[in-house]
Amino acid sequence: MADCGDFEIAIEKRLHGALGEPERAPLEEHLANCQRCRAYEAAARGAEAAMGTEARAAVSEVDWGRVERGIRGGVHASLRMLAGAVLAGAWVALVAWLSAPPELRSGRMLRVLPAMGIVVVLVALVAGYSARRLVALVDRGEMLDTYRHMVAANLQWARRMQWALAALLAFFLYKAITGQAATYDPQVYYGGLSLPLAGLWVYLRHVKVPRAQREARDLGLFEGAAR
Amino acid sequence: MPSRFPDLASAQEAEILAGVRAGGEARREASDRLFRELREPLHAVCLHLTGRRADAEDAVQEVFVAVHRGIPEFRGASRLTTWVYRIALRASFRARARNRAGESLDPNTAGGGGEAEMVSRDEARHTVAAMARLPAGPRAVLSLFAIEGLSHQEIADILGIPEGTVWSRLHAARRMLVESMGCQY
Repeated sequence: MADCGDFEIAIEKRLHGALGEPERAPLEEHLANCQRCRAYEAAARGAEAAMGTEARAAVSEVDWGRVERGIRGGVHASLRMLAGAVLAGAWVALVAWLSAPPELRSGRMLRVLPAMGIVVVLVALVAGYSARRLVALVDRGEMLDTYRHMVAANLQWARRMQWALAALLAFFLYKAITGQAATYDPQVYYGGLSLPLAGLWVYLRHVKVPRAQREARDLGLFEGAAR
Repeated sequence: MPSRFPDLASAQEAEILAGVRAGGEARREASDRLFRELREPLHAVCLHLTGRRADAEDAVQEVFVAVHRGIPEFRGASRLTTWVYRIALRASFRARARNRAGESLDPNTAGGGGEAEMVSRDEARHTVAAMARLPAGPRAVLSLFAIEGLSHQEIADILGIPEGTVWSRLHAARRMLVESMGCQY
């Protein structure tokens, strides 16, 4: 062992019961003569003890019944996501229905039904894929690097979605204001479609992207993510 | 001393996995058992990683939801606990990110006991607050080492790094923690 840094690693090994016999005597000898390393050992022991104290205190106050209920609710999150997609599809159908004159409503509904079905299937696939991706990704490679890649990809996706939605929203609003059609009411149709898009944009802008940025910052990702 | 929590032996893990794969009632019982065995050490890890008790509980929930979804596809490439702890790291980072910057840690909770215990609790809170100021990497390694029952080999497996590297990571993290606490050594 060459310097205090090496002995500090030996202190950590001893603290966690992993110090080999040949390392013990040199460490003891060094500690007897090094105030700095003795202070390091005291700080390490103190920090471990303090973390244990706080963890035991916190765990004694956990309402495990509430946690279990939360788990049971979370297990059905994919179903809730699917229900949300069905609701969104129903909203599109309602908008299509309301925007068409009474004699054309059935035909217009038939035209939007395939699109609604595609949306529901896509959401179901995304829900299933994201659950499987999490499971697969946590089982390989260096943990933090894997997470960094995931978070960077999520942040990039959320930002792109945010801009794409903004562009689509602007287009829909433009059509709602200037559009003219004989078979449907553009104000009702494009205005109605804009509402869920606007809600999704607000969610991305004020929840999803800032959250991904905070996670990126915590993981020490590129500086641009922190801004 | 590190936190003392029950360890899950390899034989118990095999029983749990067998129960999960059997499906039906056996799966429910196996999931309940996994929850009972791991909830406390996972909560400790999540607490140290998030710095807030409410976030720690959310993270524990998220862990078991992910485990419930993924365990049928778990092929045993690592120990079950290793896999669950990996999910816990991710869930904790996510739970922490849900808080807006600047939100404070938990307020001081009234604790029982005498003056010595109060001082101990204050020190503990000071340490957890200092932990919360560290980046994710150092927090992860310190949190895992604070759990008694996880060997350095298991911690290396959880972090996906070589065994030899885990000590240098711990050493670097400890130095950062001590600096964050404003201590000199």
